Amino acid sequence: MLDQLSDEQLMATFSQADDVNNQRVFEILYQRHKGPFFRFIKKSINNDQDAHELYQELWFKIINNKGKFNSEQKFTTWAYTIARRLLIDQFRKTGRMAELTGIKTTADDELVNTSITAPENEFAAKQMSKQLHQTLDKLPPEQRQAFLLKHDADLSIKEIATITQQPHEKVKSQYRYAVNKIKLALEHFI
Amino acid sequence: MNNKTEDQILTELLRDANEQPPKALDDLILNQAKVNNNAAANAKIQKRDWKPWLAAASVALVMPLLWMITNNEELTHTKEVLSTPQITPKPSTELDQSLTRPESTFSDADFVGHEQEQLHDMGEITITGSRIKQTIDEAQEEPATYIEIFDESIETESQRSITGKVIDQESLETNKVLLKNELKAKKRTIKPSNMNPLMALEYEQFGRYLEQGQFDLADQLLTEMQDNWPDFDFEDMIYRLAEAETKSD
Repeated sequence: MLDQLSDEQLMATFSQADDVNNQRVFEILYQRHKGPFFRFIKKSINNDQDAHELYQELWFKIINNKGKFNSEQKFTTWAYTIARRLLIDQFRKTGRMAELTGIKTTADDELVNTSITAPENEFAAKQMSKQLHQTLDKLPPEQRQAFLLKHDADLSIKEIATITQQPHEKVKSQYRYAVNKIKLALEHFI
Repeated sequence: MNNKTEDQILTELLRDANEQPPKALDDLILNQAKVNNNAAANAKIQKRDWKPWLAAASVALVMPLLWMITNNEELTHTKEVLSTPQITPKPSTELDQSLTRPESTFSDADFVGHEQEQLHDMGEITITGSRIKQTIDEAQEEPATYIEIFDESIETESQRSITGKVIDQESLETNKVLLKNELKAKKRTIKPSNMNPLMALEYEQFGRYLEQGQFDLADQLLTEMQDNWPDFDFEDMIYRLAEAETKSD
């Protein structure tokens, strides 16, 4: 029954202190999003220890600020906005801010016409997945985030633009560059 | 292959690794949520529990306070009664104290607080004509003693208000001023439209006395007018008489 509730409904129930189900609804919410949140942070920061700390901090912020959540807002948009702020703080601390904001458009970023086809078997899928992740790690942070938010968090370009506080067209461009590079990386699997 | 399918392939490939946080992190976060829930629930319970206690405490504080205020009025009243100076006759007089005690020395408690007792006692008092005569005779023999007692009682009574309570000098003066102002405010001005025909005639006569220098007659007439028409303000006439007397001197 509770499993059928939306993220926003779960969050609204969780924020009610006297609700007997609020621990249960949090567990459901956590199970739904723990993978995407963790991957987003880990892929954004490329450091296991920092990623674990930031992931924990993200959920603690969600728990402690549950009363501030507006149920008219999408939970994922709210949560990824918090995550991104934490990442920016971390980048500032480690002096990697330029890396986060700088987008270098090289010859590699030129659009390619190749299309991706589904892997023929499980082995091929594993190989392609590995290649994708390796390519993703090499992408500039903004492009990487745009790709992760689009494919792992199932967010639209508009929602990503809201989270990253960037113009819609810029985010769209970042995403296209990310996809283009991944396509080039996976080209030999096609 | 269309773009949607391409998107789906990319998503599947991305999620294929299905990287998850460590179990220790899961437990830590779920435990934090539990702690937060319990704290919030406890805070709400504590907040809710305070309301009836607060109401009960308010009643418990207010009720004795009201009782004390009520009691204090009584205590103040009793204290005043006890602090009222009592004039007792000198031991040289052999008269019965119940008879020699001047009426003025009765405290308000005698009249108010013990009204029933008073009425009861009055029924039992028996005074014969010979005893009254004896008291008068003794008073005439020792007038100084009785005058002293009378003066003391007058002085004491002058310091009391109508309720029997002692008024301090300051409030007495204030009351006098207020009374004067009040009386003055109620006085009517002497002018043809306010006066009746008789008063108008007397007023004209007063003027003639002043013109003729008959100040004694003017003063006598003024006194009569003040008696006859006490609701009028005679200050102007008094001033005219005083002025005329000063001029004649």
